[in-house]
Amino acid sequence: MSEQSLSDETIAVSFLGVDKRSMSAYEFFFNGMKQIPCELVDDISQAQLCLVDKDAYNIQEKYKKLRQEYPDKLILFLSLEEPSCLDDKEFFLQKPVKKNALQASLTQIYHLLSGKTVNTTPINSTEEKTDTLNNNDKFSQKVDIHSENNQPQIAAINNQIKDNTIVSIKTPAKEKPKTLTAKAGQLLKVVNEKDFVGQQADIDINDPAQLEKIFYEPNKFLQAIVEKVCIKSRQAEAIIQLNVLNHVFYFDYQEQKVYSTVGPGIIRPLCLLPHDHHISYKIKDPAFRAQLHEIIQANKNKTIKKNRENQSWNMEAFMWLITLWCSRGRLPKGTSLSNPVYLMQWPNLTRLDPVPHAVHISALLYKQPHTLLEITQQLGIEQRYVFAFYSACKSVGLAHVSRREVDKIFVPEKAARHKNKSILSKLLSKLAGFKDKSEMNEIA
Amino acid sequence: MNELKIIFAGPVGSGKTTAIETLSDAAPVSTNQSASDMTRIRKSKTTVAMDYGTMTLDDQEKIHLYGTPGQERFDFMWDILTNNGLGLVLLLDNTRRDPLNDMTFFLESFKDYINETAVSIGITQTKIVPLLKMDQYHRKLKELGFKGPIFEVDARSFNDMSHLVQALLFTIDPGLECSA
Repeated sequence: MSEQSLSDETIAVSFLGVDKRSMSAYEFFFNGMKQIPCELVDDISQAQLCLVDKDAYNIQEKYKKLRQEYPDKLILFLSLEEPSCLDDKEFFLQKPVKKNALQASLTQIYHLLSGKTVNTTPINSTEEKTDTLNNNDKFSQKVDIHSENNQPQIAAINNQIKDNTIVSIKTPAKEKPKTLTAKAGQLLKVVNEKDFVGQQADIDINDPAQLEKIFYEPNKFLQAIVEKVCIKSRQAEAIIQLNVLNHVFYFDYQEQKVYSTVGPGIIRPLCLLPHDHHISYKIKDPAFRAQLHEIIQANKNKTIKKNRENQSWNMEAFMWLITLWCSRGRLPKGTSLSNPVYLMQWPNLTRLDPVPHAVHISALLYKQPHTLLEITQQLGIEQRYVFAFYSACKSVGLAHVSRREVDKIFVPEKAARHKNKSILSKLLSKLAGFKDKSEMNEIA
Repeated sequence: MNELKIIFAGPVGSGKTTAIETLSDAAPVSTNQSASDMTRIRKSKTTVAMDYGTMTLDDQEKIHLYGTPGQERFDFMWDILTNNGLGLVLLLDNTRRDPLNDMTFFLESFKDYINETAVSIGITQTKIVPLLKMDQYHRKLKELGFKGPIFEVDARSFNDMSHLVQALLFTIDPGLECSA
């Protein structure tokens, strides 16, 4: 045994057939497991225990060689399937390897090597665990695994590993979280925020005169036209050319793209004007596709010299953008303020133009339906952010007013606070306020 | 001292290492640098061949960012990494043969952990070969009985990764506020 002992306090562990990344994970795990000190060694002759991945390629041959060279080495097999037979130096751990089971195995092997009695406390991860090991314990009494006296102990270890039992270990008490001190920020700064969400101050919804201010009529604006053309492109499965004043847009449903001959600098003002008779569109022939690419490329070459404004969008992103410009922090006329609204799925926020607080609103609304005013109150944010977000989500088909009576009856639950909310808040501030690496979200 | 973790999982090439590099304050411990030299794993833990980074919040607290090792399906032993974890960031490579199958595999593998915490999913490589639409990922997520955000991301972009982690944090606790 003396040749195997690296230290009097640790289990020297080596690996066979385990990939390097997994080895590193084990190393992390061992480092955190203070009660059973383990040390990785690359020289297998120095190891007391070898972890063998029994599912690794060509492992039988390698293992055979290992046993020929080191017949006394303790082996812990990791495998999807339990080996049909194990000898007195072999142990087994079922994959996927669970931390409790691994800890149990190592604890038992530690006990075996140090000559301690095997503890048979069953694993219960939810209960507080108590330390049964004395930190001053040394491997002063090594166990001779060849000794017949120790055979029942080895058998007991294998049985315990199989039965998922463990020597319990005390976990340190958690620090009490610190109190929060500030209100939520906007979370990722938005350049030219007012273009997206307007500047409308919160209104008193009980005042009919003020109530007028929070609604707009999408049908009078470019939003409704874009919406119709998107639908038309899908139905016709063709490219549609839309002319707005002197400007041209191509809607390609197949590619899910919208191309334009102008950029946001021109398009945004178009969203501020009511539209009716200035609009015309036509369905293009399938042969037009090849021509479209030439037009786009020619236009790109031309405009790159002038400016770098974006002139092509994903169809959903274009609809979202147009809606934000048209709504400017308002709601489509007729939207109920008293009925809950729901979010079918998270918007693809990383590829859509930014709405301040969008991540926060999405999380709350996706969890359960809320009225729009409940969201503003619960998050402590201004109405225009919530209204802009809802209008944009609705236009791309992700949010709707709930018609279910049940949603009206139930008061939304106040979400449970996380035990580490203080740290999470700090992390959030760091992510939101990060200046060096982040790029500011700019308009299209 | 609180030392919490965020776990980054996903198939090989999905951008875990890059994502951790993007978010980490300190130079992350890179898998790729040391994985080629097996002999460097010494008894006194010289090299750690694993995706690992940290985000320092103040003098006392750090968030640890771990990329799951075990690229082979039969090497999964991620359970040992998830202890004290805040949640899972799952990255899926849209150019792989069957990203929905990858999604199923990872969500099922981390099922218990996700149920205790939360998951946030980033789809990478969407510009190269847009094999699947986002709706298909959302449908699969629902079908598997999970809820969570799914964003297209570029693991090199701090903005994208920040969104993904913020979404994870708000999913964990929608009442969260920025600290001063």
